[in-house]
Amino acid sequence: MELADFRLYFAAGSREMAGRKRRVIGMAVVPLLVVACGESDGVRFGGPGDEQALLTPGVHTPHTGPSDGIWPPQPEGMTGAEPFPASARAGVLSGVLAAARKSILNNPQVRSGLGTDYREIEATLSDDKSDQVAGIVFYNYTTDETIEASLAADGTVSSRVSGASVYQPMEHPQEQTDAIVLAQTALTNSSFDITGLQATAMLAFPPLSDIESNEAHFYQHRVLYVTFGPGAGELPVYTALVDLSNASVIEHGPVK
Amino acid sequence: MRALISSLILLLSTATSQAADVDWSGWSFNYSTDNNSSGLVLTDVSFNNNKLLGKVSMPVMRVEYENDICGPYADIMGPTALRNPLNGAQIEACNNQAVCRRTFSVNGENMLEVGANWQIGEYQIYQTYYFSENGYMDSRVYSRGLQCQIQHNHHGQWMFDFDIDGSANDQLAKGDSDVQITEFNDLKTNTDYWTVQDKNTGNSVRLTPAGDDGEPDNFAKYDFAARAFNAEEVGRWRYGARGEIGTLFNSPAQNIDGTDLVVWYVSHLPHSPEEGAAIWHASGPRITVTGQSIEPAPAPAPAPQPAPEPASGNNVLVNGGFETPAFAGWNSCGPADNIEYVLNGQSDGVGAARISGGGCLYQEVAAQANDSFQLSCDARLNGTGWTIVELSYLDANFENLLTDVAQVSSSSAYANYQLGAVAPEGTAHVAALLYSEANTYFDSCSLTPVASTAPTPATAPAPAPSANLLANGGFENNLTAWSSCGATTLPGVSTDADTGSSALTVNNSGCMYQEFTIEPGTTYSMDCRAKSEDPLFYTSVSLTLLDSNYAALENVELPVETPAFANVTAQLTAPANSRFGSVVLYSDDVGTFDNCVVTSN
Repeated sequence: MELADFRLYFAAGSREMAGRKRRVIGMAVVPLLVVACGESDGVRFGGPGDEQALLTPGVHTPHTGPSDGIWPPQPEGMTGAEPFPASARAGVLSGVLAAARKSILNNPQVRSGLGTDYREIEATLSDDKSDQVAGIVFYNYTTDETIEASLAADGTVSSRVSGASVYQPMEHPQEQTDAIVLAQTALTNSSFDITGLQATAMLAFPPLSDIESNEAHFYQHRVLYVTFGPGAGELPVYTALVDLSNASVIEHGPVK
Repeated sequence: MRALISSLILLLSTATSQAADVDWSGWSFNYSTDNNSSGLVLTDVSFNNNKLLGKVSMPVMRVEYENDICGPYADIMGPTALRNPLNGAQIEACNNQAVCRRTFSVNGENMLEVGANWQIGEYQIYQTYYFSENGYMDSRVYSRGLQCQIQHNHHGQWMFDFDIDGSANDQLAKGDSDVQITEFNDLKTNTDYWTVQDKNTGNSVRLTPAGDDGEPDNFAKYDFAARAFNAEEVGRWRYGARGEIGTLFNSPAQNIDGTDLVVWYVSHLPHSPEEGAAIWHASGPRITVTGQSIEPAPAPAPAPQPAPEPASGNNVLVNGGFETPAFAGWNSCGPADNIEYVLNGQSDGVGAARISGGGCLYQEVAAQANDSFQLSCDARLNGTGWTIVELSYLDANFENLLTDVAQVSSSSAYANYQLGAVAPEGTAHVAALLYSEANTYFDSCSLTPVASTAPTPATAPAPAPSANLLANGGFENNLTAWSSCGATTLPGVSTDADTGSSALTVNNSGCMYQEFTIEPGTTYSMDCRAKSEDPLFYTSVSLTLLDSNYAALENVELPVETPAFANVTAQLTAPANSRFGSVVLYSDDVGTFDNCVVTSN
């Protein structure tokens, strides 16, 4: 990425950054070299008419092996692969979800619960057996709470609030970016060379020694685990534990 | 610094979520990549028209490293982890899309594969289902990558909500006949397979572990758990890295004999760092249809049906009036049981569609950029369920580009709903959709092109000063143009008006809103007449300016505390990136609103 591109990215993020100190920047680029591997010599199950085959333990739909470098893994003996067409279902249902989001986000009680420093993590249409139309998951960084707002089938909008240690949703791409830049700064300030390394970030979970109770499955803050490595799934070189709730780096250094 | 920044590469290019309905060689199901962050989720799975499963998902893959030196992790395959496998494939496969849909043959046996690619930290995960024309489906997960140089174990956790021949009357046995009465945890060393059947019909399936499903350990003690259905437990995973299904939800153990049944299955994938990062670790069980005819039952001879009502005139919808035969031309996008063709209650002609419980119908036709369509439908909503009519433009991959929606109001008589929009760049389809959570009749739907328009200018001309940007701000036309944002009973229109003959009355935490398009830099003034019967109950009028993601950029919320009509006014200037304005009318109990006006200065 050229410097000019980097500055543009800063500019694009400036509004969000203005209201929130930790809204630091970073850049998402991409590619991953996938080397599909894995040995398989399992016995394949037969169809339902083959009783003996049903009772024989084996590998279901074995794939071709470790050295073919193929994504997705290729079923053994596969011939005549043809694309299977998509349908418009997702496109039209995303309109239903968009309408449900508006009902939820216009509700004053939901807006009050979100405050001004929050992020929408996920929006989902509900299952058939649910009495809801849709739900949206937010994280409020001011209160360190997860807010699950939902639109019920009868039109009611309601919220469920969980403290950070009780429930947190998966990380959002913007949170990954924020955490990576904080980690990058900490590592470079400590004279670690991350030149040419690729970065990833994922929600971190407390080790057993840090868990306070059976109900506390998560950290009390929004904490992400950041890695810098050669990419393509290879072992990272450096790691950092980043607290997004107070824009700090808890620990950083070479990978364990 | 420049070299440093340019060296940072992050896998954040999230792929677009996908969902579709599939009918193939006797199998019928829907799939989605954004269902409660639960991986690639299948719903309404049937084989030969026999329902097998309400839902299959993988809400979590838990990972434990030796001595907690790294982790633990709960890998959640949510929509933000969905990735196109860019540069990952050495051959062209599935067009390098995040979701792979393909058919193939193995030794003459036809198979269908639907799989999705996810990226979590350094890990690449491919979760897939293989369907055989011979009546079995393999639920498999593949994982590769290395996060730490420590021995660790992945534990893939599937949720199978069995609904054989409907959600009730499920029964589970170890093997073929050891029927279990209450919830239990199990190990695959105790049985070769588990059988789930409908207690009434006897139709059954068999869940068989795979040879590569690994062994449980102290972090994941069980391979299998059977639970009575609980809607709270089958959505997103809420229990972090250490929550184990075998120790959750089972105190006291509930009855599972003849009830709605959920099975959790856990596979275990040990990973030694010495193996390197490139190996695909794989595992996952098989669901085999065992208790029904594998050969498709002969279909009854179809009764002679008249040809579907063709699109007529300018109307491009087929059978838009729901005349015989039933739903010809329409596709279902919700539970099929909740759409019904009725021969009474129509607004016109012979028949109508009655939709309830999240039922959904859509129809799409070809369109292109700058086309302009108007959707018109009659709808009659009995009750208070959330109900919409939707007009959408989709691209060639059926991804949504633009949606216009009207909420249907409760009414004892049909009302007409009209939507219109100009197709944006990239449009390949226009779609009409009808959706209802309540008991709603739809009839006389038409989708008509209106006069071809010139390309949309980059900025729409500003409305004339003093023009009211709200439609029906005085509620003289019932609730037209207003939408609900939360109430157990929908607000209604009363005759307690400030001027004119009608006003909006809101109670019981009711909430109505109307949205309008705004331009950055423009100042917007809102004026509503409002009163509150009892100031002890909160009533408010809000003006909010939002961005394209519906995040609030500016917001003014004004309490209403006077028992007589009074002006409630606010003024906001639209900041950069603003796209929509919204006026929200809310009351705990009872607020009355009239003559709402928004103007641009």
